[in-house]
Amino acid sequence: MRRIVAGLLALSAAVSVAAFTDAARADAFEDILKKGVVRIATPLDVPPMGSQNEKREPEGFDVELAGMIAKALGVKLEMQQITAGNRIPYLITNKVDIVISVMGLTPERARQIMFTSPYADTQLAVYGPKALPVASADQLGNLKVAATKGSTMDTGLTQMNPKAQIMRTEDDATAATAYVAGQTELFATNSLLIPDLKRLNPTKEFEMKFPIRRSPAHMGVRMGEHNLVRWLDEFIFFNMMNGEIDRLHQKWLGVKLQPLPSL
Amino acid sequence: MKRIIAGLLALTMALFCGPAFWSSAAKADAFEDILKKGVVRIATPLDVPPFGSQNAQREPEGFDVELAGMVAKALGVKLEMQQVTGANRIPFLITNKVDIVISVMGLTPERAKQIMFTSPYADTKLAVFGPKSADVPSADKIGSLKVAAAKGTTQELALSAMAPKATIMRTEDDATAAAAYLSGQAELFATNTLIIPDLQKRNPAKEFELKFTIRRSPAHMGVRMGEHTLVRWLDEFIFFNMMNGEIDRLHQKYLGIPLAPMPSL
Repeated sequence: MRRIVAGLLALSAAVSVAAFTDAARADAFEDILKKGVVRIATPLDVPPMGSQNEKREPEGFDVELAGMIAKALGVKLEMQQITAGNRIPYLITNKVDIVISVMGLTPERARQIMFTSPYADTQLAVYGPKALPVASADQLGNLKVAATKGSTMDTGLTQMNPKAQIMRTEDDATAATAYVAGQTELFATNSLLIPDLKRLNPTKEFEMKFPIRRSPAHMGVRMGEHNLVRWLDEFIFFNMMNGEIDRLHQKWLGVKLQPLPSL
Repeated sequence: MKRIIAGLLALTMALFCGPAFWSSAAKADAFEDILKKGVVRIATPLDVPPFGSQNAQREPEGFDVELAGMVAKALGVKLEMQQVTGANRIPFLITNKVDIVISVMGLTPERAKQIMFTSPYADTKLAVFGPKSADVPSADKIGSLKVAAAKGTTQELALSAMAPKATIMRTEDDATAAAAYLSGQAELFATNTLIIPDLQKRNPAKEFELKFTIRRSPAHMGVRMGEHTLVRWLDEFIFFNMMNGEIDRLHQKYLGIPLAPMPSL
């Protein structure tokens, strides 16, 4: 008897806690404003989007964008370095609130997270030496292509040619190194990263052999965080209107902002 | 003992089944309410022709006013209109006095911390106007000239940020800001470019030369934070009326210009 009463007391206590708190339904946007901190994940091995300068300070397009977001929210910024491999898990497990990581949108990924409207137009493509005659995915033959594991380049290229010999690396930096070192004949990457790679490797050729897909960069948030994703869409729109996203393009990419459709 | 158990069981059931537990009931859905009650409450300005003003018979008319009518008609509900100014439209929304604000309202991340914006329905620019003789090609050339601007509007906020040393005459609403410029109390006037043709027509002797642009700032509708069903419907409504030419018709009718292509949110 006493155990039944004790059990029911515990149950009703638990139920009333759940009922009278919003703990069951988190709202990241509300939490960010309440706690005064936003946790944003960016890469630090993908110049010019995210890298470290000589003083090991983070810098880059995505890094600066993260700073602008925290400033517009009026909160402190907590930065978290991520790679293409762990950025979605970090978001899902609530280690970060927002991912800004030259991230491409796919319906597959959108089953796990939510994407904002795009903030930069980018193309996925395969690059190699001028002399190499590879004009499409079916002409790859046995040539090896370095690409970050699980990236949209990896999945896109595999879809185009399931027999493609892809050397899947942990991150973009390793993929670039593999190509520069000659471990692979080709390299699949995001068009935005090429100017910086050319600068750092002046003797290596980076000619675009064929495009994989147009794949703009979007920010990512946890599934269901509608207030946060809407605010980010509004932030992106505002900074398109006032020229700030174009300023970031000129500063980090040396190109103008291209007109982009939104979600 | 048995009564205690029965009581606890009842309490647990009540909590479990009650509205507080399934928090969706505690969370109002404005879109659902509008359809259920058969009324939508929309706030528009009535001192900002050609977006919202009163005609000779004191009837509301204008771009935003007509758009509000179209929204109510498309929802199949009665329209309850509420007049607002740049200063009180967001408070009216937050305190649930209205469901939607249609008020040549500019989007800023700061405002978006309090309310949600739809995609834009008109492309507008914020700028500073003055007489031909005034040499003010940029914000830093304002000097000691007084600039009239309605308090809380994007032009007032943006100009205050661009020109912290400028003497900005912050008025209660857009009509008072215009009056301050027309009467010569202020030498310059910060406003939305779309309202100038109407002002010029009513004041043919006054000069309204564009001195410098503050920012491109399209007009968006506003809803309360969290009303995702409503904001989605409004985005869909705007999209549909872009596709069928109706938003362009409003542009031609009230602004004398065609709809400019705009990005959406």
